[in-house]
Parts: sequence; structure tokens; C-alpha cells
Amino acid sequence: MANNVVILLSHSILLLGAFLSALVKNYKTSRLISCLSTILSFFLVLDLSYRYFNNIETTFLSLVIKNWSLFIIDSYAIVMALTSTFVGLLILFYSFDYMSHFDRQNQYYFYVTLFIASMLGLIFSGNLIVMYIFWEITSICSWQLISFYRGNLHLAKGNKAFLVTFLGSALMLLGIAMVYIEHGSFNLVDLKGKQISDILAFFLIVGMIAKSAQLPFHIWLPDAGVAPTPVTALLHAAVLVKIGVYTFGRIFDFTFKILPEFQQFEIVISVLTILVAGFMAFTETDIKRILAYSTISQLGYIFLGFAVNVKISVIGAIFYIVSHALAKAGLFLSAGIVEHNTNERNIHNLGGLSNTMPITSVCFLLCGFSIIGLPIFSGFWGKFFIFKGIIESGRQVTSLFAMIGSVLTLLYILRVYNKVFLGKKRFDVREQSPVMVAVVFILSLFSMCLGLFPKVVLDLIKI
Amino acid sequence: MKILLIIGVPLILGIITLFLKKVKAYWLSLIVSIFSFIISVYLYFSKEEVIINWLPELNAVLMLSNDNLASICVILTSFFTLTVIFFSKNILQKFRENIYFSNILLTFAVSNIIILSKNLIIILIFWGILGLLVYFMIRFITKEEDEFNIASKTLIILGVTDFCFFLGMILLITSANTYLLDKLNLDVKNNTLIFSLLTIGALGKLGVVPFHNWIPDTAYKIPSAVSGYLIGAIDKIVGIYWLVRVTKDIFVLTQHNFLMLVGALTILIAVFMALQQHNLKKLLSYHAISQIGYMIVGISSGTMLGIIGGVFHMVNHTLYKTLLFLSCDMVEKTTGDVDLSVPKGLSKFLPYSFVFALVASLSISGIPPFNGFSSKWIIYQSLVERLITTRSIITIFVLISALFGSALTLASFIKVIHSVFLSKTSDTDVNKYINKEKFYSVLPMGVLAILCFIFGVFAYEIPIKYLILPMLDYNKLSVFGLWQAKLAFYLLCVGIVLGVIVYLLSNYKTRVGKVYLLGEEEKLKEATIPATDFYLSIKEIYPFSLIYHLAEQKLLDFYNWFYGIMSFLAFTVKSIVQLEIFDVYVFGKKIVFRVGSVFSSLHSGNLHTYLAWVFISILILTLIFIL
Repeated sequence: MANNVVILLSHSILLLGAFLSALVKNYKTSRLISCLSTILSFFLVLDLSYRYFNNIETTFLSLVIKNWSLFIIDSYAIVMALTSTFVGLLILFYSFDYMSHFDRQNQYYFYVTLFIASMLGLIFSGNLIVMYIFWEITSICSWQLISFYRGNLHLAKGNKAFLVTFLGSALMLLGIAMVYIEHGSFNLVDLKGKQISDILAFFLIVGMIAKSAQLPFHIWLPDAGVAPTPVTALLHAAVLVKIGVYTFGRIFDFTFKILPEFQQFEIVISVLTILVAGFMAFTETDIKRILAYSTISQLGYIFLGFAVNVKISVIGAIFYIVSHALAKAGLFLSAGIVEHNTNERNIHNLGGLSNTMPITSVCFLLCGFSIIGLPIFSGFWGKFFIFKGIIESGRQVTSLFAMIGSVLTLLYILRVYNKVFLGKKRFDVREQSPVMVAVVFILSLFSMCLGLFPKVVLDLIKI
Repeated sequence: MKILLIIGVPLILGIITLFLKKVKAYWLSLIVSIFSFIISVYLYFSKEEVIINWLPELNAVLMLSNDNLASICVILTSFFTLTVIFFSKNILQKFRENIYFSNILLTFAVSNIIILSKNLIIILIFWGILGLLVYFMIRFITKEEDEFNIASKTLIILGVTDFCFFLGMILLITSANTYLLDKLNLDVKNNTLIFSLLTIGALGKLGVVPFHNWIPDTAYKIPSAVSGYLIGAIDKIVGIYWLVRVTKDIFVLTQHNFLMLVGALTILIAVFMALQQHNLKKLLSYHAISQIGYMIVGISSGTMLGIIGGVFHMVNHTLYKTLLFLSCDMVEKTTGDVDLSVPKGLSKFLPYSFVFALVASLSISGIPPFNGFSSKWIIYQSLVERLITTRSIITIFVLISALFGSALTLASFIKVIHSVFLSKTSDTDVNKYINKEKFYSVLPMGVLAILCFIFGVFAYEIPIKYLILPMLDYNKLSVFGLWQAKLAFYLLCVGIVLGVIVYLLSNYKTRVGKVYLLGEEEKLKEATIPATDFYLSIKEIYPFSLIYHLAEQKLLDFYNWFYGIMSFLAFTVKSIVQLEIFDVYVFGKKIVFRVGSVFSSLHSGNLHTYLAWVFISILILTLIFIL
């Protein structure tokens, strides 16, 4: 079987799963279909990575339609696909218990599965137009999922997220059209190594920073916290915001050449985002908003790694995508357990939960350490490579600012942990449910193990 | 192989200990520490190199080898691990034993990796882990969930300095283009940022002013024996080890005036703080900070003598400070508290501890013939040597601070000895005491006390000759006016013997009689001044009064400053970012509605408005065609 077919198959299974889960009335069947299709898809991506890294390729089916090469396969895409499907799968498991008492679960599973499917489609897109189509499908899914509860507030926040990201993607579409005018192709392979002008790069980047909630388009992400927790975890950790950084890397590091002044502009935006979002996270009191600002800030590091565009910083950025996906999903889902059990999100009203919820408490701490970038946690390696790249490129001042961002991470993560899990006990709640706790445990375990054995991921990153 | 054993065994068994019950945890840890100590001594006599390819692509290779500096530091860490574990057969009920022993073993293993590693990335990783272990110790050692801020405060202070260290290390790796810790001989002037960042890392670990505030808080929270181990010994060995590497190997040896000033200020600020403490644990930890000042002053003086003095003082400090913390542990176990304002009068109840604590107190105060004096003397000599060549006002200030600090240390320990051991206390209080002086607690303290004595009297014959000079790869100590420790000791002995003879021959008798109160009530007991009030007068003298006031208000706390500045910046950023102009959504919405309302007003539904538009359009089109 050709690699293209595997991609197509994994994608189709997810799409099929999504639509089937929407059609089925029974919620249990719906989630089973959604889950099975994601599991299958994950294994197909695993199979694909095995084929790719062992050079097993049979080219009896070429998916080129009207000079449009649909797919691209490289280690970058594979790492992203594995991360997205794996974290997506864990979030689905978590949703079983979390969403069990809500209505319209079939809709939920439909959008989530479609979300993961479109993410896969985007990752393997070898063409700017195909990429854009999947890009917009994810926007629609996130729009619907953020406003899933259908209250006025939820609808408003969903609309806000959709409009802000759409503003960016509309400009990006303009950029894509300009790419075609300048270079006569949408295929990423054909465009490789081509120099693009600053204005074109600007149009393209607006879409990405809007999607990844970088300054000044960061405003929609903290508000998206009104969505159910598994959705916010999916948005923040695995799928939506990672689309922006993934495309950024794909277009500005692996495809086009950009001018140095534009590179400087990217770096300034990233550093500003790291600092501003870090400070914002430090002032918030809503646990989900804090974690949302944390996501914005941490994505700044990934952008920075790609923007510096030294080999080691790009490796660092890809590595940090994986670390951040695992750890941030862990943090959000732990926060979800807290919210689920206490019905409270303000950190000043919480406290003393480490006594009654010890596993969640420890998992939160471990995932937090990974985000901070403390040694033996996977986040350390990501940040180490990014910083190494920054310094190798001779930007010492940038590295100092980025370091202040890391200190801020330490401050706000510990602040949340102290307020929520330590201190005076305010809620007498038990740790539940086992599935939710198990998912959080797996994520924190992975965050730690990848720190001890970073080679597992590094071997996959061949650039 | 020996290197692997000394790291691997405590590392693996440290993790296993985490799951063991009290007695098993103790015995297992004891066996591991004895084993490690023996191996460390063997290691000194053989040079080994072990390479484990952990991440060869990233050059994060576990490359461990032992030069003299590393070997002797490993012997020291092993010795203190053994001493503290041996002592810790019974620990207070409120602490978790498995965390206690596991953390000691893991700290031991991690510090050995830092010391033995020749790879900078490995040092960086394990440096961070050492900080995390302190956090875990404070966070999980007590069974009650209180005072969580101390653990976080510690992690934040150590985190800030560790991030500096992190950046400094990456800068070093990139600038020197090597991952190996070797004699790099970089120039400080051209690499000031690297030097500063690497030094801040070491200063944070050592707890030098202004990064010192985590130490008293940590000591207050954790068992005293562990404080002795962590604060008294391990952090000092690792911190000084790294500082020596930085100043001597990575950079060219030179005088660092700023560091010397930091050292001098550390001596003074910490000793002043110690003087007013009512809690023995906090008092000891402030002295631990103060003593680091001497080491910093010695090492940053940039002379061979200074480095020898600094490192020797580190060794001496680990001995007497561990001994003091162990004595403190005995006091806490016996009386249940460490409050100095309550007279304890333990000299008869804990005779051994009294003698050992007295030896340690005299040592830390720099009283001859004990070890503290020997090392301080060498540091003073290095400063004088520097003064002769440079005639710098900074050196004079540092020298005066060092001397003054020593005098205040003595004053502080007079308070301790009086309050804990020599003060009078009621019989009812004494009846409540539980005698905890057992063989396993007296032996390690005795060994430390004897070493304090030997390292003082035979300073040049034993420790300097066999430990300090080999550590620093120096052949001999050549300096003017060496302190004649043995001669002074003999003279002191003669003086004491003569004093005793005079006392015995004087036929002096004390008359015990009734106190005449002239009908008033007896208030003698209430009139006794508690030891904590000994130096109240200092508190009232300006500018000390101001300093104490600021300290009481927590305004000299780096953590509070740092947290405050960050909070201020955060709220400033928040208020700016929340301005409408920075909100793309609100701002964009406003523009869309404004533009929309303009167009909407133009579409009013009135015929004459539309006719006016048609007329204007025709006019424009005509103009376009004509032009």
C-alpha cells in the first residue's frame, strides 16, 4: 500500500467516523464510533511513520490531480500527526465521562472527530489550497464546539473566535492567491526555496498568528474557555492552535525563503507574545483563562524557534510542539477534573485539593513542570534547543527576554498550583472519575518519560 | 565502575526507599551510605572515566571522571550523607520517613553526578534536578499541609537563578564551542554576561544575598538534620565546587570586586539577621548564609591563597554547620521546640550535645584553635595580600566586614549556648524532657566535633596538605605569617592548666545564704533576662533599627521584591493590553459599525437623497470620460 493511500485511508476513516457518529442517535454508539475511528486512524498514522522511516514506499497510486499534489509526507508531518491523533484520542477517552450527562453528544463527537480529521488533512496537505480548505473546516468545528452549550455567552465567544480567526485566514487566502500570481503554483514542493516579498509573507503570517492566538490576535483564546473542558484541551493542546504554528513552520521554514527584516518582525512578535501573555496569565484568576494565556505564551516559544530558523531551534520548536501538546492537555484536563468536581473555576475560591485529589494534584504539578521547562521533563529539551538556536543565531538580548518568559511561567504555574491544590481545604470532593484521572496520569507520565528519553521524539525529527 | 556504583546505587535505592517503611528505609539508606563512603575513598586513589551514551546526538553524554577536586568533593558528600543518615535513626513523628531518606539518597546521587560530570549539559540538567529535590523535600516531608508558600518560594528563587544558570550554560557552550568542562580560560571582560549568569546560578544554590531568603524558611520547615545536610553541607559543596570551576577553570583567575562586595554584604546582613532570631533553626540558617560570605570573599579575591582559604572554609563550614544542625535536632527532639526565648538549660541533660555544640559554636565564631579560625585566617591573609598590591578601598571594607562579622557571630552563639544549654530552668520543665542522646546520635556528632578540632590544630598538616592543595592542584602553600596553630594550641593549654591550678590553690569558697527581700515578693526569676534580649540594644541603634524594621516588614526579601515587581509589571501590561485599541475584535467591530452607519445613513429611503447620488455619480463618470 502506498503512503498516499494510508494517509487517505486514515483521513477517510475519521471522516466516516465523524459523519456516522452524527447520524447515530444513541450517544454510546456515537462515542464508540468516534473513538474507534480515531484509534484506527492513529494506528494508520503509526503504520505510516513505520513505512516512512523504513523507506517502504510503493508508488502505484499517485495522487496528483490537475498538477495539484495533494499530500506531502515528511518527518515534520508525521510527528504532528502522531501527536494530534494521540492527544486527540486521549481527550476523547476523557470526554466519555466528562460529557456523559450532556445533551447533543452525537453532535459533540461529530465535531471532535471532524476536527481531528481536518487536522490530519491539513498536516499532510501538499498544496496551499487543500491546506486552506482543511484550515477552514477546523475553524467551523471550533466555532461550533466553543459555543456547544448554546448559551448567549457561549455563542458570543464562539462567534468571536470564529471571526478573529477568519479575519486572519481571509488575509491568508489573499496571500495564497499572491503566491500563485508570483510563482504560478500552489504545490509546496514546487514552491520550495522560492523567495517571497515582505507583503506576501505578511498576509500569510496574519492567518497563522490569528489561528495560534499570537499578539495582537490573542483575544479569542482565553474567551474560548467557555467550551467544555475536553474541547478547550483539544483547542489549546493538540489541534487548533497548533495548526498555526505547524503551518508557520511548514511555509516559512520548509518552503519559502523570507527576507531578514521579516524574520526580525516574526521574532519581535513572538517575544512580545511570550511576555505579554505570561504577564496576563499571572494576573488572571480563572484557572482556564490562566492556562489559555499560558498556551499563548508557550506558542510564542514555538514561533520563536521557527522564526530564528536555525536547525537546532527548528528541532526545538517541533519537539516543543509535542511536549506542549502533552503537558498542556494534562493541565487542562486536570483543571477539568477540578471544575467537574467542584463546579468552580476561580482559583481564589479553590484550595486544599491535594488532600482529596492527590493523583490529579501530582499530575498537574508534573505537567506544570514540563511547561516551565524544568529538567527531566520533556519541556526542558524543547526550550533548551530553542534557546540554543536563539543564541547560535547571535541574539543574546532575545534570549534574555525569552528567559523572563520562562520565569513568568514558573510564577503563574506555581500560583495556580498553590491556590488550587494547597492551602485551606474548601471543598470535600473525591477524585473522579477513574477514566478522567487515568488520562491525566498518562499525559503526565508521557511528559516525564519524554524528558528522560527525548530520543524517541528526536529520532522522528529528521530535518 | 566505582563511579557508576557511587551514582547508580544511591540513585536506584533512593527511588526504592520511597516505597519502604521507616525501619527498612533507615537501614537500607545506612548500608548505601556506608557503601558509598567506602567507594568514594577508593575512588580517590584511582582515576576513572565512564561514558554513557545517553544522547550522543545532542552531546548530552554522561561523561563522568574524577580529578582531585571532584574526588575530594565526592568524599565529602559521602561522609556527610553517612553522618546524617547514621544520626537519623529516630526522626520526629510529624515527618515522612520515606521522603526523608529517599531525598537524602537522591540528593547525594545527583550532587555526585554534578561534581563528576565533565559534560556541561549533564551538569545543567542535574543542577536543575537538585533544586527540584529541595522543592519536593519541603513540599512533601511534613504530614500536615501547611505553609506551602515556603516550598514555592524556594522553587521560585532557585528557579530564577537556575534559569540564569541555564542561559549562561547555553551561552558558554555556544561561545566556547564545546560541551566539555575543561580548562577554557575565558576572559571575564569579554564574557561578562556568561560569567555573571553562571555565578548567579552558584550564588542562588549557595543562598548568597540577595538570593538568601529561601534558606531560613526551608530550615524552619524541614528537619534540622536534613537542614544540616542540605543547607549546611551539600549545597555548599556543590555551589563552591562550581564557583571554583568557574573562577579557576572556565575563566582566567582574577579578582572580582563586585563578588567580594556581595560576599562582604552577605556576611554582615546575615549575621545581623541571625543576631535577632528567636528560632534556633532560623538563627543557624542565617549563620550558614553569613559563612558563605567568607567563602565568596576568599574565592573572588583572585589569589591562590584566597581560593585555598575559601575552599578550606567550605570544608570547615560543612563540618561545624552540620554539627550545629544535628545539635539543634537533638534539642528539638528533647524539648519539642527550638525557641530561644524559652530557657532550656540542657547542659546537664544533654552533656555530649552541649560539648559538641560548644565546639561547633567556637569553630563558627572563629575562635582558635578550632577549624573556623584557621580558614578565616587564611582568607584574611589573602585580603591583606591583595591590599598590599592594590590598596583598594573595597578590600579594606571587605576585610573589616569579615572581622566584624566574626565578632558578631561569636555574640550570636553566646546567646545560643546560654539559652539552650546554660540558662536556668525549672524542674517541671526538665521533667518533661525526653532523653534522646543515644549512641547513634552521639557518635556522628562526636566525629564531627573531633574533626573540627583536628582541622583547626593540624590545619596545615592534615586538611590543607591532604585535601585542599590536591583539590586545587597546588603543590604548596607559600605565604608570609602563617598561623602557628599547634603553638597557639599548646599555649592555650598551658594557660588553661595554669588557670585550673590557680583556681584549685585559691581555696575560694562560695557562701550560700538566704536572700533578703525586705518583705517583698521574690521576683528574681522574672528578672532574669532571656537570651533573646541580649542584643536588643543593637536593634535600637540607627541605622540598624532601620534595617531591622525593613527586614521585619519583609522589605529586604528578594522574593517579595521580585514577586512585587512582576505583579506590578503584570498589572501594567494587563491595563495596557485591555485598552480598546489593542483589542482587535472590539476595535474591528467598532470600525465596521462606524463605516456601516455612514453607509446606512446614506441609504435613508428618501427619493431626493438617491437622486442626489445618481446626479453625483453621473458627474463623476462624465469627469472621468472627459479627463
